[in-house]
Parts: sequence; C-alpha cells; structure tokens
Amino acid sequence: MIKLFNVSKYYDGSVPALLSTTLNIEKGEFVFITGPSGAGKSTLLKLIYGTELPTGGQMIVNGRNFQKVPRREVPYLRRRTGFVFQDFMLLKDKNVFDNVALALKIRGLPKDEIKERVSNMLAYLKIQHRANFNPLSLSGGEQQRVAIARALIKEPILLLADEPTGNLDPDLAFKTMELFKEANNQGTTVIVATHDRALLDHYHKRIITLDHGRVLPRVGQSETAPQPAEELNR
Amino acid sequence: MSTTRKILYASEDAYTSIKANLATTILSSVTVGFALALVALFLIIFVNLQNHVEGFGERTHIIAYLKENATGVSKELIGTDVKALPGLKEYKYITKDEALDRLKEELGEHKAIFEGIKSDIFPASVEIKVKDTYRDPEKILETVEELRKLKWVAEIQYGQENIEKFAAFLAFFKLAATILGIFLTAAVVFIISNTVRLTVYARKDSIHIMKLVGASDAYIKVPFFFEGILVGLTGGIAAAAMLELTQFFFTGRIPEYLSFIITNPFGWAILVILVIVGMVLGTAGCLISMRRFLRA
Repeated sequence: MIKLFNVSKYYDGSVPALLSTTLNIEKGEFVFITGPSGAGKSTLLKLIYGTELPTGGQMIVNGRNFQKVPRREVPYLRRRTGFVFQDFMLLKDKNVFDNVALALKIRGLPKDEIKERVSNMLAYLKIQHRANFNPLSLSGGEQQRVAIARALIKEPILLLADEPTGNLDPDLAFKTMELFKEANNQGTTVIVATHDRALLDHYHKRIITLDHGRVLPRVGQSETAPQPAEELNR
Repeated sequence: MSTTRKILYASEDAYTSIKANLATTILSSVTVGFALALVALFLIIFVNLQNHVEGFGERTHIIAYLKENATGVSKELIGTDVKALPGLKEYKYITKDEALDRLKEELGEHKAIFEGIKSDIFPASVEIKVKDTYRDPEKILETVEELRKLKWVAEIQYGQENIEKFAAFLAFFKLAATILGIFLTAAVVFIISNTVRLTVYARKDSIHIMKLVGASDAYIKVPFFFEGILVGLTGGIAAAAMLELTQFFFTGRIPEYLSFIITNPFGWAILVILVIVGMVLGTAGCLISMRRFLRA
C-alpha cells in the first residue's frame, strides 16, 4: 500500500524533517507513528497524503508515485484518502453538514445520496443534532468528530490521522480510536500519528517510532509489529 | 451529469460564500464602482474636450481672394484648379454679393452702415476646407503654396499663427490626456486587483482546506468566478449610477457653455462597457489572485 525507500525531506532546502526513511505499510494494516515533537510524524503523513513532496528517495502510495503524478490528478488521489488533521481544518463559513458533504459534492454525487450518506455519518458519530451549527460553535471533541466524519464519508482506502486525540479527554480519545478501528475492520488502511502512550499501550498495533527524522528500532513492540530488520526488507 | 452537478454545487457554494462575506462583497463592488466611475468620467471629459477642440480645427479654412479683372477666369476653371489641390475636403465659391451679405449678417443691427454700398468693392473668394489629416501647419502650407501658383489668386488668408497654436495645443492636449489616462487606468487596475486580492486572501484558508479535501482547481475557482462576475456587475452598475449622479449634480451648477464637458457622449453604451470592464477585471483579478493559493 505504502512503500518508502530512502525518503528524505528537508524544508527550505536545509532544515531536515525526515532522513533516509525506508518503510512499508501493507494494505489493511493499522499503524501508529509515534515519537517526540519535531520527530517527523506530521511530515511523514504529509508525504503520504501528497501535500509535501520528498526531497530525496522514492515513495509509492497505492501504486502511484506522487513525484510523478501531474498536479491536476492530485485532487483525485486525495478523494480516496481520508485525513483527520490535528487542527481539524473545517470550513468556517459552512455548517457541519456542508463541511462533511463537501467531500462528496466535489465528486458530483447526486444530492439525495449526499444527504442520506451525510445524515447517516453524522448519526453514526452522534453529532446529527449539530448538523446546522457552525463548526466554531462546537466543542473541540465535536469538531474532531466532524473532521473524522468528513474523512470517513469518502469511504477511504487509506485513513491518515495526525494527533487525532490531542484535543480530547481520555474517554473521547478512546471512542475516536474505536471509530478508526471500525474503519480498519472494514478494510481501510489506518495510520495514526500520536504520542499518547495510553493509546499505544491499549491497542496492540504495529508502531513506527521516529526520532529526529529517523525510524528507530523499538524494544518491546507489539506481537503484530515486524522487527526493524524485517521492516527494512519488506 | 456529474459535471453539471459539480457546477451546481459550486454555484451554491458561491451563494453561501457571498452571503457569509456580504460586507466584503459590497465593499469590493463599491470600490470597483468608484474606480470605474473615475475612469469613465475622465473618458467622458476627454472625449468631449477633444470633440470640442477639434471643432476649432473644423472651422479652420483657407480663403483665396480672386484678382480683379483676371482675364479668362471662369467659375469652372477655379473649380478645376481647387479640386486639384492636395488635401482638399470641400470648397465654396463666394461671389461679391455673397461677401457683402455675409458682412451685413455678421454686423447684425449695425448693418445699416453698408446701405448704398455696392458689392463691387468686395473681392470674390474661394473658401477651402482641408481634410483632418491635412490640418497641421506644414501640410496647410503645402496647400497654400499650390494655391499661390494659380493665376487667379490675389491674396491668401489662412491664419498661420492660429493653426500653429492650435496644432501645438491639440498635440499637447492629446499627450497630456494619454499620460493622465495611462496613470489613471494603472491606478484603477491596481486598486481593483488589490481589492480582489484582499477578498481572495481573506479566504485563503478555505481554498487550502478545499484542496486538502480533494477539490479540483476548477471546483474551487467556480465560486470565485461567480463572485468576480457579481462584483464586476454591481461595480459597473454602481459606476454608471455615480456618473448619472455627477451629471445631475453639475447640471445647473456650472455655466451653460461648459455643460458639454459632463454630457455623456456614449449614451447607454457606457453602462454596457462599464459592466463588461467590471466583470472582466473582477473575474480576471479573482482568478489571477487565486493562482498562488492554488499552487501552494
């Protein structure tokens, strides 16, 4: 699903964010990316989503190399990937319903279908009563759920989440993770960047640890996680 | 079908966005309106002044007085000679009687002083008007030189000094107006493009988010395109209204002989032109301003 070979990313040509990173994430996997602030977690997700391009190395996401994809095709690739941003990235001049519907409107789906799917998704995330509210009037947790709804409504084959529980209390954080787990159970590849120790310990999923832009071998990885040497060779 | 729906959704987005940013949209329309009205007012004053000034030129003509008792000179010969002159637009043969009648007419109530005087004392003449392209001093001299060669010509009047002054003034007027027009147009384009840029800048986050969600450039552009059209349309109408108000305000407040300056010589066409220019500047400004945010 995702293959990185010796991928590096430097901002402004000299500030290193990711260094010679090689990794492989299989279709249907649930992976945590962890590490301290500035380790390169967000950069890795941005590279996978195509909002940043690598400075060096090669990477393939769902069979496509972003470095070679024409600019006009990028939006179409993003329509098959959901991204839950740390700061939600909701449109302030649209209500909750329209924020979620946007992901379907841009594909030109019929109005009735959009209405039904968005209503179901809002009900699924228990925020249907906020459909006509402006996102700014919602709590952090509610905004987070709107962002998740917008990502999941695409029925993505790949779901990326950058610190999705950073603004949530522990209870809501676990509820959010359950949503991701549910998506994963339905076949979506899920990659979550977090430094929430409790989540990492609770879910026995593969963990990729980054530090200063490099992937670290991890001691005491969960049973399902591959060994570092194995990871490099996959 | 899907494309039609996308355009429909984008149009709905435009409506929502205009409603949400109504104050900015109105401000942009008013700014565009003022800017366009300024250029239109300049254009109206320029065209009116130019027409007026050129009217002076229209009245410039050469008068060739005929020799007394010139033998073998007929009206036909004069006609043939004059028609061969370079730059001739039209000519008129003035007989001695007509010359006297004209003078009496010009004197008005004092014409009685010419009672009893015979037209014999006045020379017959030919009034010659030259083409617009022949209205500069050098070319008029060319025509005058040709006239001098004719055997029936006694004296020539062509107001050399006036023609030179007029030509110099006209050249200066056109140059000054062109330079002023360029500065004014540049300033107006700058004002409109900055107004539009600010409108787009205020929504740069929305553009960024829509890109992240997977909207194509075209989908993102459509609402801005409609907004550009709306701002241009309302701005153009506002400009036309401002022009009408200006004319209304000045009518009766400035001397009658100056009223031609603010009279709109273009009629309804100015409204159409202002609206089209407004829409072109509005949409082009929007789309150009968006490019850097779309590429980001």
